[in-house]
Amino acid sequence: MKKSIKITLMLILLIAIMVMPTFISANTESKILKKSDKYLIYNENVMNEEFTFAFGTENQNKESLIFFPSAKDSNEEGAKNVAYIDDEIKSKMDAKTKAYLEKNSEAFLFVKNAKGEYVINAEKIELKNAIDNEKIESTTKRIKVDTTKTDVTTQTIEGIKTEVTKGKVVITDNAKAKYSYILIKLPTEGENDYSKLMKLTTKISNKEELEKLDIIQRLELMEQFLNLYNAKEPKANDSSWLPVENLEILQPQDSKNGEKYIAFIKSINGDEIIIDAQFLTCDQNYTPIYEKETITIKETSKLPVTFDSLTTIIIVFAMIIVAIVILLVVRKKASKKENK
Amino acid sequence: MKKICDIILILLIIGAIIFGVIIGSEYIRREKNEDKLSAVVAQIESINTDTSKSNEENKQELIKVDGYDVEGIIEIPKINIKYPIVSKTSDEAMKVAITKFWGTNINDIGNYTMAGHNYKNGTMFGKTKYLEIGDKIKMTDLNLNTVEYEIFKIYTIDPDDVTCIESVDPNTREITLITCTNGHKNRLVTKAREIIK
Repeated sequence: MKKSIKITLMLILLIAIMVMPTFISANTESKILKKSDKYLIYNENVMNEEFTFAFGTENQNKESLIFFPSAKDSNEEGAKNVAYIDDEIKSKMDAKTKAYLEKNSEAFLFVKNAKGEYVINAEKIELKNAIDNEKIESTTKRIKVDTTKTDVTTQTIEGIKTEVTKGKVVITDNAKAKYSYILIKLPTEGENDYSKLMKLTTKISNKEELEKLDIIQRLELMEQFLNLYNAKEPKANDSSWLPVENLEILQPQDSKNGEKYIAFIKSINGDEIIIDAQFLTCDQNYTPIYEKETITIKETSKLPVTFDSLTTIIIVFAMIIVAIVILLVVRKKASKKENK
Repeated sequence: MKKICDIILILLIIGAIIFGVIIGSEYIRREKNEDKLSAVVAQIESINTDTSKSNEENKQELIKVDGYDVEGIIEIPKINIKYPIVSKTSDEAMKVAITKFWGTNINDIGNYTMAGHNYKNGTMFGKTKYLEIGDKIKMTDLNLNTVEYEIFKIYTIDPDDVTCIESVDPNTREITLITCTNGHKNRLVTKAREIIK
């Protein structure tokens, strides 16, 4: 009885050791990066050594697999080994796998290490989940804009003339196309999906920070960005699109310095619809200057005459009355003399 | 001799009648103008209480006096005057109200200079000669924001001396009252600045 238990335990241990690589590889999901027409497949467990890979269908007979040598993902030192799908691989695949791939945009990956051991066993590779490098790199560049321009307005508050400089997005893409936009203000406190998107954009566009990450971390970051961007990008028929006037999207009047906005911009040129985004941080400068009259003092050369002209008239009137009285007296005296 | 006296007498009587009519009509005009200005002040002060019309509608209606734009109200409690201020200085405008001679807007930072007639009956700026340093002046704009000023300088200048329109301190609110003194040979200048509470 004891002997049979020992044998059973040894068998279980042996089986466990044999299947261990399969379990490990199954737990590490491959990342697919789409570069032009090529799909590069990264797997953390195998990317540091050369390997061979093959694609098959769901219930693939391993005997009929066609293996290809792995490729380097770049010419630089420390380049990673990747499986890949391109036109050449497709042309060399067995007909059944090729048909399956073209129909379902997916295939099952098999990888053997240098020793010829299977390290990835029928991992489903879905090309629709590929990280579209082109889309990431073209975000903010699909519709050409100039974000360096500013709009200067003046305000006079309590006698202080203030020049307010606000940023704006000037579309320099194609004057013939019709443009519309959706401006989304990010919360100043807390976080929502749009502020997460802004953070991811900042991380992705920071090359120094990106270089500190390994390729898998970089791909995860790109994947997060793309998933969130695709979820938040407004649909072309969304009712919130506002028409762009004079090819300018002005910073909102009530915006404050440092506030962040995402501006989704849509371009319609014939049947072609392009949607892009700009990640904006409000730049607003207040330059208070005391307002000065443009008239010089020389033009005001005399103070106004404000005396009471009626006084003169009253004086003249009084003098006339006095004169009348004097005349009447003189006349009366003259009459008396005549009578005498 | 008697005939000459009679002719002179007749001419003087005609002159007296003409001057009497001028004086009388001017007196009546001033009385009516005072009533009109009091009514305008009362209407401006009721801008925010007249709910039958919007404030903007009220301002549009009240903003003019005899065709002159009104900028606000000046009140000097000590000499018991309260007048609207029109935005332009001219001989005709000064017959109507106190006029803005210099400055931007009422209660703006800087100097706001006003001119008013030195009427002998004490209307307009006729009683500013009784003001003293420390007396208060209230300035109210069309939004009914009132700023209180205190007189800090009173002096007489030549009509050609326009330095009184300059601010003593360009960063404070300052007002200057100008009226004639010594006939029309000089100007009485009264300067006041905002009371910072």
